[in-house]
Amino acid sequence: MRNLFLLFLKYGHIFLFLFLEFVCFILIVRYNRAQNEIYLNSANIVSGAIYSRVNNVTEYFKLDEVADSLANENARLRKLLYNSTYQSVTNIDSIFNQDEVFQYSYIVGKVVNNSINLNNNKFTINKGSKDGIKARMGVINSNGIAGIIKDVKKNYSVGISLLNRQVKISASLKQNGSFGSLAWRGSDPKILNLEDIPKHAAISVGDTVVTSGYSSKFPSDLIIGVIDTFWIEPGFNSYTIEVKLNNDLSRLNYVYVIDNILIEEQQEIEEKSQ
Amino acid sequence: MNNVNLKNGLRFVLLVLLQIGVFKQISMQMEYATYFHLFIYPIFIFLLPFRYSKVLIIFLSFFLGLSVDVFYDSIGIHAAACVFTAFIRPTVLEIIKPQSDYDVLLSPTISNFGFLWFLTYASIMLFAHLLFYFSVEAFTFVYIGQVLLKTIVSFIASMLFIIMYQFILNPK
Repeated sequence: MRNLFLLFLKYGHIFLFLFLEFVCFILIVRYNRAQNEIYLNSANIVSGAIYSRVNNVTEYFKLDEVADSLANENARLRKLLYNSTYQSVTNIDSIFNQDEVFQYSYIVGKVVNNSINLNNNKFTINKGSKDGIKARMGVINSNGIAGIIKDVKKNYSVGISLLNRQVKISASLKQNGSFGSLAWRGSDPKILNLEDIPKHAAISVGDTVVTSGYSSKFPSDLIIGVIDTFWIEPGFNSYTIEVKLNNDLSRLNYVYVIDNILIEEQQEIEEKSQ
Repeated sequence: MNNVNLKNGLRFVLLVLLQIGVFKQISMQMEYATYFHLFIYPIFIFLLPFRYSKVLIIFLSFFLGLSVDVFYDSIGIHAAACVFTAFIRPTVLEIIKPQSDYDVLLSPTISNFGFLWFLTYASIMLFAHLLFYFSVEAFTFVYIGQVLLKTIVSFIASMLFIIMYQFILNPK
């Protein structure tokens, strides 16, 4: 007891210091809103970290239960498997162009995953390299163009949608044939920007925008949308045009991947002439 | 003895009044300079006589900080800084001890130990006080750059007034 007293006499100021700082801490957190919020936030981070650790441990003890329920689920899914077989039959349909030479053939696919509210949106379709899909092919559906194939695996492929800042598509005005490039600015999934239409071209709201056919990915005259608004930025030689998409990219379902049969020939001669 | 206690008691009241009546107002007038804060009240802690025990000094500082906090609407923040400053006071005094030891009857003032010694002592203490105060005010490590900037700007400004206070109210 005496030793304890001596200890306190010697180091009392340290205890007092720690005690009063603790009191101050309580006071600060209790009476100051800004500091209180920071305190609560960090407390949540700390307790969250502890909870997740605890969870990791307790999860380990629950593995038996989890394994049982997974086995049950497997059994249930096996039953369903009869009518969820992978569709291995690919419908290929082709059109003739005017010279009666095959140029484009269409591969039917179904969109199994899609996004529209990111900066760079993508979709996945259930056809892949075994169905003849290659990277850089164009994708359309019955309402207009949808995107371009980016990566291809055996059974699936991923396309970058029109709503992607990396995409630029050659487009022209049906009225007078002047062409520019179509890009997405990253805000409204119904609006794309058409650039590089020279300002001497006569345009008006409601004009139809179609694919130009200059890119090897899309045939010409596929509908993209109509002009919503347009203006000329001061000091620019071209219009800034907002195009309202004809296609609702949030509801992609069945799509057609365009296989340009003559693409190699076109690229070959274009490279040669450079 | 009573004289010393009375003097320190009066200094307590005077410094709190000066701080909230004058220096807080000056800092508030210059609201465009968010890094600029004048703190003179810590000099109370610096000037407490050597004979006061560490425990007493910490207690007094706590109440000083709390009194200032009441008027700054920041319950606990100044108090925490004051307690910290009071806690490091013996260590700082030990580090810059002059060759002749401290006379327990004296207080650490310019008139007793000279201008240069007091400048060193007050600088260390004030810088520690301000750094601790602004850190507690920020309450997170995210704004460490701003905390340092505030500390340095306020330190230079406050130091001028603290030296001035010493010259005006403690003439030789």
